[in-house]
Amino acid sequence: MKKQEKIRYQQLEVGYELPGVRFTIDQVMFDCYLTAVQEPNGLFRNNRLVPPMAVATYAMATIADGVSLPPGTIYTHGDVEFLSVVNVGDTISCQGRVSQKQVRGTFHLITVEFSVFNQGRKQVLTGKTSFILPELDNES
Amino acid sequence: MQLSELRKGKVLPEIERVITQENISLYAEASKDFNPIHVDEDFARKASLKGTVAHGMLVLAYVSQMMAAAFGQSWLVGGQLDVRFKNPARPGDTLTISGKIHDIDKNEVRTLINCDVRCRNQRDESIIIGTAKVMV
Repeated sequence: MKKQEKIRYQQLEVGYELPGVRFTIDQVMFDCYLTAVQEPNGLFRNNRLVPPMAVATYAMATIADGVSLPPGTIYTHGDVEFLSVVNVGDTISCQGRVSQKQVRGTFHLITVEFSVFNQGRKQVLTGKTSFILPELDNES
Repeated sequence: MQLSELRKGKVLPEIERVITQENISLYAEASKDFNPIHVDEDFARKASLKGTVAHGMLVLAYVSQMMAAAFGQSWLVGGQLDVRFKNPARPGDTLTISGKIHDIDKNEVRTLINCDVRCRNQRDESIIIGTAKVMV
């Protein structure tokens, strides 16, 4: 995945569009994911179909790649909708947008909406995730 | 699962997964999420987590596996998950992922199945709770 300049999470505001990222899901990524999640369903390997949660995971990684998230970040909520199948070799584009931000004491609660498109510009996945980020002493 | 089998209250076949640090580390590699709470025991302890925890998205992948096993390709196009991460899953935990159909919305063109889903550990603590929808 392409490296990009990270924004500090304290700078995120509602409406902020995270930098879009485009990459191809290759066989190595596919194999690595199936092994990591102990995927037993032949549907994926036999048809070279990428599990939808793998696509969601890559989208989240894209989001994380654009923001300087502190160690200790914890996901609290996830909402995903799978719209179309993704095959190994597909090139997908991920876009994310901050839809909610709250500061509670020393914690930030951020919600990001994201969309994933394939090389034909067809939307393959949409979702929303919320996470809690601890405020680090040396970052304030 | 056959269309004729679908009814309100139907329990989906459960799946079980044992969490190991090796799986967590493999998932960190696959997802490029190396947050130290997942891979650094000392850091996780200092962060009051009593040790490393599995990625929430790894556990959510197991929920998706249960849905894919039950509904096949229908799950891949039109499947929806809406969940809350309630407690962390830790190395050594045995997770049971379960689901039950709580509603079926049927019209001339499609049948929408609404399910309650849950992932619990061996102490019956909820790790993930939420809903899943699938169109068949």
